[in-house]
Amino acid sequence: MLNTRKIKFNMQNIIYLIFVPTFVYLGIFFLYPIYISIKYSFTNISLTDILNYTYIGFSNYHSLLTSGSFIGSIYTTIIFLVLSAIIGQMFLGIVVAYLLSVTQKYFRLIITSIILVAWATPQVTAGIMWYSTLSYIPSGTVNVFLNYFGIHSINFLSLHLALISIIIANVWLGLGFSVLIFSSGISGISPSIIKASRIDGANPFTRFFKIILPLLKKSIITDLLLITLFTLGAFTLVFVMTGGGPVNATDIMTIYQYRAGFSLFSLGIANAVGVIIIVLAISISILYLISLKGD
Amino acid sequence: MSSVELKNINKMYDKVTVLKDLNLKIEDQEFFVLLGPSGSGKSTTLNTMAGLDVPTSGNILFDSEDVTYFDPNKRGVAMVFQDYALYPHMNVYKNMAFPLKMKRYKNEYIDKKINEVANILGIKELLKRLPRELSGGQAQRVALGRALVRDPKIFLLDEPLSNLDAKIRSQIRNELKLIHSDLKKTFVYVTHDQQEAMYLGDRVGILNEGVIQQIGTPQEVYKHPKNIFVAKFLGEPEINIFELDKNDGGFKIGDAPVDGSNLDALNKLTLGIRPENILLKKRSEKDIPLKIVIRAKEFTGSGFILIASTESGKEIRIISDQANMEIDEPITAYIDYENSILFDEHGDSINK
Repeated sequence: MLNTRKIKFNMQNIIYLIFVPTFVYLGIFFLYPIYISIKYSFTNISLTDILNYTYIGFSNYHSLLTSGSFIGSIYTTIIFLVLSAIIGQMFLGIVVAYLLSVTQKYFRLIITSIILVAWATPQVTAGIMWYSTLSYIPSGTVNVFLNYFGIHSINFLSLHLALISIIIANVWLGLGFSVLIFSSGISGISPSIIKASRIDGANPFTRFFKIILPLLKKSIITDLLLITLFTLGAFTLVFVMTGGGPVNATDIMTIYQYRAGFSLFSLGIANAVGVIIIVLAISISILYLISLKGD
Repeated sequence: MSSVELKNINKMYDKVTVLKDLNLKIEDQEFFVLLGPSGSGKSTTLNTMAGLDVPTSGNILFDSEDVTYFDPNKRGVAMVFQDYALYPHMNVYKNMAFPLKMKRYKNEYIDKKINEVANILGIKELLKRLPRELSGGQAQRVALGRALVRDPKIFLLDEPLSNLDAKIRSQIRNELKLIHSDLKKTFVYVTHDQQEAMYLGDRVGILNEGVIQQIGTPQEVYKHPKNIFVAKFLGEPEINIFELDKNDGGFKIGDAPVDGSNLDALNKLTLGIRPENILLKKRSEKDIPLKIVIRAKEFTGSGFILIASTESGKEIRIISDQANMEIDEPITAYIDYENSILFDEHGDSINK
């Protein structure tokens, strides 16, 4: 009796032991960098001389929040987030998943695979693909088609269209993830509920908005949280396609951060941008959780 | 008026045939029960009536109007499901209001109708609750209510009692029967439970592997099954089956001959005898004596089920109200030949 208790007690300790590598890993590669990042954001550390720096209080944050180009970057990021993640990936993702759920099995399999290929494509590859598709000089695939039909070439990566282009490219890239989440959400809805709604006289449109959408609430929260974090951290695709330009048209915060660090060598500013991104991500996440709570 | 007629219905999924040339006529105001084991196609039949499924070929007529390709909401049917199928995010009131809202009724009418039905079903206190806060019996009452508020011409019920526990089940079963006699509407009820079928049905249709085996009143299908499948599927405990071979120009159980004017042409004969028709005392000259040993007794409340074995080692079941049976004592029982059922080598029933 005493022995078994002792063994059980030891087993529990072993279970905690199993967590140790995880926590060590998280500590070294996650918590410590965040700590460093926050620390450096209060200094004037420069890439040209990383050993000598002084604490300068909030002056990095102050100069950022009073700089027009950084405020513009926040706006761009929010437009990018709302249009590409929330409306594009999430809403389109639900619609696509719903449409797929009512189609034939094999068709569904093929379409899902195609959409997922986009998600699995390395972002540099995807960026080059999109660049060559939308390019103005030399003419990219789309413009070659337009010319074929007698329409003038359009500069998709120009000052006015570049943001829309990277939004579309990012929707294309991330749609598969949302479709996957919502497909599993929809398949979790009991078929008899769908049947009941058909008998009760709900047309596909009503059924989608009154039955399916409310029942996907949990999937929506999960999806929204994850794709918001993905999108706030998005860098590669945009960097390859536009590099933040032309002028500052697609200058999302991560690109601003990159330029601060590696073009202006100001690691202090770059880290301050990073901290602002983290704070923004956490606040938006909390906002989601609050607004979708209830019931 | 709303009768349902299925004409030559065939249904295939990919290459699997689920319904084979099904013909069925359900009369107006009838309580019709479709009975069959799982996979027999009874739910598919109900779905085609509801319009949730389209038959591969054949026609469905409501009051001689062809509705085969009508949408579910244009058919005037209501359906109740085994898992209740309540909308989880709506409270009871909203669940019941949903079909009425879809038809764009005015709020005052909806309110009046829901209160009326909630009173009938005794769910008035539940109107503000969410489905997850309901017990199984309450949930199925609400589902019934959602069907009732619509005043449908035809009620389709897909194993509505299967998820409930025994006590609630018999309670709601009684209520269903009363609702039916109050409303005087056509009910089509699908179940795999033969007892439920016989309690509820005005007529019962027994389905197996997509083919209707027999249609008739519960008494008819119980007493005069058309084939061995029907005989075995109905009745608890199951009917006792004796498979007899021809010996010396006649059929025998033990030493006793089985007589009948139609038996001479057969090579094989199957005799079915319901457990309540095996007697422990001889009643008529025609009874066939059978030497048995009683192995066990099961008390059922009103009597006993005796599990016995014959001389050849076959296990049989007898319903008896006698308590003084000795276990492991050899006795003679009598097969009530008048009430036995004979089947030919194809398993179809024949006259004696």
